[in-house]
Amino acid sequence: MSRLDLAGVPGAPAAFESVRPLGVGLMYNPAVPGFLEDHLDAIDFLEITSDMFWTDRGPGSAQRFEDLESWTRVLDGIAADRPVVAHNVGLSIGSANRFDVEYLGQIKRWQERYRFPWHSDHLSFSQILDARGRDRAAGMALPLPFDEQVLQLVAGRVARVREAIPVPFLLENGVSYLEIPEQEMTEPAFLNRLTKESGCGLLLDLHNLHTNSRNYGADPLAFLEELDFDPVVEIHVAGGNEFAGMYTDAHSGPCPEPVWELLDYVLPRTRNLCGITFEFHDSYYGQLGPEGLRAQLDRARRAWTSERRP
Amino acid sequence: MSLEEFQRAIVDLVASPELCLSFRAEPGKFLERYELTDVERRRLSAVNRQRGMSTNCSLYRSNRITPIYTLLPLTCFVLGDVLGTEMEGYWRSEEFVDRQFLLEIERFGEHIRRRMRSGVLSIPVLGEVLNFELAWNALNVGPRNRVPAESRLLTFTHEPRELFRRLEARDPLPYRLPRGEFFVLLRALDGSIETTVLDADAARDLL
Repeated sequence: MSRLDLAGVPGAPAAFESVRPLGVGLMYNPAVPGFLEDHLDAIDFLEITSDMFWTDRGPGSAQRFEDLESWTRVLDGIAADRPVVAHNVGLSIGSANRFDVEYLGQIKRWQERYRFPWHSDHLSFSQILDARGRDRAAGMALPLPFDEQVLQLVAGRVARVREAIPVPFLLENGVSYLEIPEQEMTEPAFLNRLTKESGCGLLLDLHNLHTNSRNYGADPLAFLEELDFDPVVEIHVAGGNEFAGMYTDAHSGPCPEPVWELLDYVLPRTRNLCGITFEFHDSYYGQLGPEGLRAQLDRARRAWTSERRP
Repeated sequence: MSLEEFQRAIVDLVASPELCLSFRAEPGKFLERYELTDVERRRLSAVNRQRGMSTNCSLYRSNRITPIYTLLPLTCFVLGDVLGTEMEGYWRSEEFVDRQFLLEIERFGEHIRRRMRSGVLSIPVLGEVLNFELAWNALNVGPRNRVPAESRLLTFTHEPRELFRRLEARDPLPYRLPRGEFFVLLRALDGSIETTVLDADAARDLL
């Protein structure tokens, strides 16, 4: 059993719970409950985007968060059989002018409810305050420049998340369709410093890495050779497709072979890894089918078990 | 302040292909709207020329359409050829506040109702179909197993069974339908939404 020891970081709680390696996970979408009726044995844990399970009326609203009961009932059923991990989309940790404390409180309540062994969000920004101080959605996760200023901003936010929620918090390396010039650090150098200085873990999304590398002609192995693997707690694998002139992280079916190869490269180097999660969008379930989805999960399991993990 | 302005500029660009084009044509005019460092000005100029900006603009529009097209499919069908115009008008009048599907369709629904009240939209069955889909969605994600069950009573001026049969078959509009006062009761019952057409007496008893 590996132990994720991130204590001793400024602003961090004195001690962290140990994290038990879980194995192979599946990202929840509306097609998943039907699949799990016949294939529950294919997964060791379920990953959810918690934001899908409630209505959020926005900061400052009375009764801001209201659970979608018909959805939580389904989740409760699965959670009775498998651990649940959260991979959220609403924190917008890189927003320069807002940090949503109410949202953080909601994640804390859900961590207490489902006992997530860890939780994560994206290293990006997706929400801003406009010039009149009103909340505004960017419509997607947008990239942050890998600069010292951003590092300090995000590290400060990580400290607040870690103070509020007593299980490891991970940030996911992002996919970006914009290449910001004149950045002060490379992406892996930024991730290495962020994880070291803030105490957050890393959710290494190998399909995001594949997507960025493919779009910009970069070498994913050069990225990985520069990366510190000790903070890697979870890995994402997924599929993508061409859209509007670029290869995108669309979660559109099977994981491409180069991503599986990256997984084979990474696994022996990740001593604190607790899970490999396959993501797909439910609109592609018809093409993937239950057998196709099962094949993806079985492949992830072979990688997991062959490397080290019983 | 500067990073905040940089992020606001990127969000503005992603939301508007027209703004991206005007930025390319007149960079100074766009950049003077924000308080930026020289590096940030160069960064914005560079990313605005990248093909990925078009991808982001397309993804933005796709993400905004998704809740409306997913949860209001019949309303979109009834809007037909004017759907694109109405969507663009909605986006111009309402900034993208959040990605909450239910709230987004309620905001779009209010936009359509305003357009109907002002007489711009006069598709006969539009209001009834919109009200039905908004009510259905509100019940579908709401609390279940309450006693009495959560419900909505809707009034129709067109015969609802025939209306929805033809809509589900995607028969092209307009329809010749019996006119009158019709009532549809939606009730959230264990895991599903029960839809019942009521006669006027039964509906008045409920009211």
